[in-house]
Amino acid sequence: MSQTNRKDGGLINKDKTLTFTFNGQILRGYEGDTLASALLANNQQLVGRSFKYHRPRGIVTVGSEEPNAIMEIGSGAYKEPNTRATVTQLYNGLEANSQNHRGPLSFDLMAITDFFSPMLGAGFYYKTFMWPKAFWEKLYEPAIRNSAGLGTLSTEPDPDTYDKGFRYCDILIIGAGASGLSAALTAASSGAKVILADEDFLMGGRLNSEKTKVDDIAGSEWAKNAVDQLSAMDNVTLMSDTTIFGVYDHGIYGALENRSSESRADSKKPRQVNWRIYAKRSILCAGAIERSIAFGNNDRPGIMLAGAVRAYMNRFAVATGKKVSVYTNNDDGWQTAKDLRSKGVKVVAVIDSRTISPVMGIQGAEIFMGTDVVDTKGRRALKSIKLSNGKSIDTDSLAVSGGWNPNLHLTCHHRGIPKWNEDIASFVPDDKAPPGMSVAGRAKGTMVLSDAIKEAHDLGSSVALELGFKSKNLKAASTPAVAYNVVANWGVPSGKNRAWVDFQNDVTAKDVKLANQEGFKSVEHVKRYTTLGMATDQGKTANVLGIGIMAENMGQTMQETGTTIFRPPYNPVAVGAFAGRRRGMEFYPTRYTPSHKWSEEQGAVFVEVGMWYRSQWFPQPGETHWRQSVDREVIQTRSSVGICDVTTLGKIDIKGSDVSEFLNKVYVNAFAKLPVGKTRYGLMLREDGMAMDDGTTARLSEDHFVMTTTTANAVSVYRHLQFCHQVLWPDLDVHMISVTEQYAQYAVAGPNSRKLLEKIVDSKHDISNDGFPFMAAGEISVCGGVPARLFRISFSGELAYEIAVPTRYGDSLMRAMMEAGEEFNVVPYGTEALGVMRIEKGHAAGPELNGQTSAYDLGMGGMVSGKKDFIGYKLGLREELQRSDRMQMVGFKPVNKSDLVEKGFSMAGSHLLGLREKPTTENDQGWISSSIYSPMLGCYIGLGFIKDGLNRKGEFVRAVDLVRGSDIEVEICSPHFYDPEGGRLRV
Amino acid sequence: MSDYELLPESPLGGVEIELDGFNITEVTDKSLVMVALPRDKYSDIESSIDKSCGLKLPEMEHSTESKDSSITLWRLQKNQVLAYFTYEGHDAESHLSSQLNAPAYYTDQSDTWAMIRVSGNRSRDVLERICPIDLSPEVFSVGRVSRTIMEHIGTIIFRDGDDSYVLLTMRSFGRSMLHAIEVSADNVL
Amino acid sequence: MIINHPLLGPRDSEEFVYLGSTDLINRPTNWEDEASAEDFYQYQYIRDNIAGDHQELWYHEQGDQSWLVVSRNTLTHEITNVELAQDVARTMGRGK
Repeated sequence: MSQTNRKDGGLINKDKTLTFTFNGQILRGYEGDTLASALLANNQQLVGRSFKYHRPRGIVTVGSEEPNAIMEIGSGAYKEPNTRATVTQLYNGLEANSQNHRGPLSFDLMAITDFFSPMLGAGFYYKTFMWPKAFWEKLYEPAIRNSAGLGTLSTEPDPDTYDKGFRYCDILIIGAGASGLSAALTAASSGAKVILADEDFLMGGRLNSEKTKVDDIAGSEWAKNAVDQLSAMDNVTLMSDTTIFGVYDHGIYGALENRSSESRADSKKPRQVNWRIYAKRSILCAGAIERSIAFGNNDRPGIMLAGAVRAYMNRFAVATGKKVSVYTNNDDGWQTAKDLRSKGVKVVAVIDSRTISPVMGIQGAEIFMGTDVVDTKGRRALKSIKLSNGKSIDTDSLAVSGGWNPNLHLTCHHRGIPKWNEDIASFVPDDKAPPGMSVAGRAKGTMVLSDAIKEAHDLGSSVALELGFKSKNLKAASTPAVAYNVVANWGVPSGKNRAWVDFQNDVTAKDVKLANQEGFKSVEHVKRYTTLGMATDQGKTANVLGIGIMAENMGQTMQETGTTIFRPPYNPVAVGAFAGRRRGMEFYPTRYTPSHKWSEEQGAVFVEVGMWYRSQWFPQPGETHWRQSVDREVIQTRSSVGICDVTTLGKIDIKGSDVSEFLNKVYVNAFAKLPVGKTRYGLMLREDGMAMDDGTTARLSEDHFVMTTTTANAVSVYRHLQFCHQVLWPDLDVHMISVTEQYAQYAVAGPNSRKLLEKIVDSKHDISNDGFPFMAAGEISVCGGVPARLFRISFSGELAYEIAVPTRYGDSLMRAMMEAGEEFNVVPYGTEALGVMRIEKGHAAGPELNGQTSAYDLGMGGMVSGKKDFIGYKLGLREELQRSDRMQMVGFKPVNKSDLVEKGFSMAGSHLLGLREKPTTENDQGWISSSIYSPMLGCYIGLGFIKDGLNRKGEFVRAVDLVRGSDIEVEICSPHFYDPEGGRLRV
Repeated sequence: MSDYELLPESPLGGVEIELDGFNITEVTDKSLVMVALPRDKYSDIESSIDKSCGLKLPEMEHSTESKDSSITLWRLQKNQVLAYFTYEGHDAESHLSSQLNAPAYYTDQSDTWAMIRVSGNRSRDVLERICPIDLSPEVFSVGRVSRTIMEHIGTIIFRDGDDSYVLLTMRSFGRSMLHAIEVSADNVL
Repeated sequence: MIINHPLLGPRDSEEFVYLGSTDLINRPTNWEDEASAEDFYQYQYIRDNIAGDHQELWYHEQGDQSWLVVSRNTLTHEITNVELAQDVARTMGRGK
């Protein structure tokens, strides 16, 4: 069997044969084919099984609205289910498999469900699988999912890549058919920047599928000329195989560009590109989509939409059968009979439900006016049809036209509501299209081609003119005016034979009726109850038919019944296309610290802190557990000297004559009198009185300060300061700039830190305890003239400094300090040791600054100034925030020092309970927020919050962790576990 | 004399990549200094920089050049201009302030940014995969500069030639930005 | 969404961070007054939930770092006016 249905002509390249497989069978088609046209050329009518009843189904349409011919394309990890054969461009080596059947396609074991169909009506699942409740998840759902459903996933990671992009234009034209091209020609002639997008890989729209002459040449040729003309213009971007899937605010459009023309395994390029198009205006020329008529057994393979039958003939040179019949309620259906006849295909009958005179004569065909099709025969392929007059006609291809629906989907993305137009028996766009969007041609309901072209032609220039571009005086393309008359026909009484409305979801006219009878009156409710209009095609061929049936059932107008709301995306978009490049390590960018390369060389273990990669600890040979490394880093730092990269802390240079006043307004404590050469710890609150962030701010000169923030809040604090300055106190002379990345900054901590730094800092600077005491700050130079900043601050509680150099020297300074510190047995330490030392010192950090804690809760009530206004001052004074029985931060240490040591986990996350209380929510007194093993104390210690904690020191409670399984007795104590007097800082 | 010598390092080690119609080069010979303009000294500054260097204050998202073309000012904020100038020393701040000789606040930003020049006739095709602003030649003309976000990374983009753009990202993001550009080039070229 | 920045022209809202109502500009100044607790409470928490034109603060974080006052219809997202918050704040009497 080789392309037995292929005829002459068409827009395919017969010089280029392509080989593909369908269910393992090797078939051939031509360049320019879709998978659907190639299957039809090979007389493959049966292409799948239906969703619910496993009915044999064939190709129905020629576009993205296809409900039946959805397939799995590719194999292995490349397998893509639910792909519409009608828009899949054929390529060499394409592998297609039909889906939703067990056993071979021609004998689906699950087809037995079809015999039970009387039981499986609308809402069947809702009604049947209600009880027992537990059965749903374990029994019913898996069974239903297995029998009903679409294709299967590969379950392997998607090997394809995806990308995104941004494009700008003055006018976006959606759809490149006769109207879209006409609009593009006038719009582009004005010099406006135009993007013309079409979901088909071949631009031209229906012109490629019709025999209509435009400007006295074949429509497809006219389209090709227009495309050539446009592609030669610098101000025009053509995007074929690109679907505009959504209209977003202010002229932003989602566009999905496909690269379906090649085997994905062979392609190195992204499979799809998700474009964001910024357009000042858009013109929707999306054409129209044909609908069916509901009659008995109208779903057999071989029954297709009339416009599709014509398209397969004219564009792809494929006859859909040998004895074709046409069933229509409008003039356009007749065109199919005429075109097929002209290609020598036998047309056996034209059946028109309207009681009018025949629209034209069709040679060799019986004509039936005022007649309907009521039943069909042929299980796997159509054999005959039965008419309302009782007559039976042998036919292997029935072309059905129930009329054309303007493709107005995108006009509804901002809640436009389609209006019913009785003249064309279709919904048309209302005047609430998204701002900036105009509609022309069939999408607007202008069904006569010559009118549509004129309308789009004029719109192209008028839209350009609104933007200040004047179009050239072009002539609209001319084409014979062909009338379009239609009389709505939603379906015919078909007795016990099912009349299908939505093929993809197996919804029948009876299901719609049943839903109405059961009280589902709103079109939205009927959709959810029957599934009409769901799944990959979103009912593009079915919706209006279903609405028509509803309207008849309920005795109301089409307008009263209305449509469901159309939302983006217009067509299915792969999740991968939304993810784009953001997979794996590219989910977020990565920030590296100045000492990263050096740390890598040391074998550091890194931890992600936001986007930053920080050294967590530095394992030494022989260390088998992270705790060994961390304990060593702490002990070595506290006994001699350690170095930690603290570049990630936010640093903000603040300059101006009013900075000290500004700082007074944002910190709880006083900064107005901070002397030059000093730094001070500051706590910032939110306006509601809760702690926001903390850090130190140094005064480097009269009008120059440098503030540090925590790593996590660097961005939000900067934003807050800008708010305070620009919005609250705009006239203060304050200038801020982030210098986080300008300086590589290292903490050098431990009793030998000064000795180490004396080898680095240029000798002209006195950094002795007298010359550079605790909380001193200054600009110095190091290593023979490199500018640096030095701060005598300590997070570890040891004699400590932070030293900053221009980042270009960061790596080099780390190496120099490690070399200089060799004689002191210097140790690099990571974020774990940093955390251990801060908890030993009782410093609050992220887990404590959790947005629910006030200065008082953190034990810093004494710092809060009562003599000035600052952010959070007034609301921080609220009674509720001052109550002594609030959760207050204190320390916790186990009564039995060996507790948890064997378990190897800390108290973090444990809840605090009375000694003999059950672990219930009612008995919960608080929690441990931060906890570590303290090598200095030789046991686990923790910071945490407990009611009235500051007054309960010395009391015993339990720390209970039901998740990890621990329950230990702990003593409430001061959070300052190590060197509480702070003597070590000041030496 | 100190026992230790500190060696400077550029954020991307001077990377240079040549592709078909597209080149990626780290810019290593430029310094950046933020010049903050106090409200009451605005006209002082305008006349000072005109006198000292023949510089004008640029319009927003535009640039101006000194008479000898060595200093470019970028106006990315109303109250600040970023000076982009040929200089490699670590004292760019004092170097620039002595050149401009204007009563502004100067803050060195040279080490804050990784600077990558992308050039070649395909540069716009590559950039449209990551850059959300309109780079049409007539809209984003030579000398235009803008601050935006690309691949989650705050980025300054400066058009310094017909087919040449300098992208600046915070130094720590440099490698991620370089990677993003390389992926775009792979996807497009 | 696209915000028409008064200095830079139209920019994608991805570059911006949203804060809330422009009521936040009116931070009470009578902090020394005992009764100002109520004013601060109103300032911090009490907002109209507007279905329609809303004056709101946006920050151009990935741009010129200016705070803006944006007039946006919360039903249609139509943006009718954008100003620098600094200018608006000054006209509302804020200074030092």
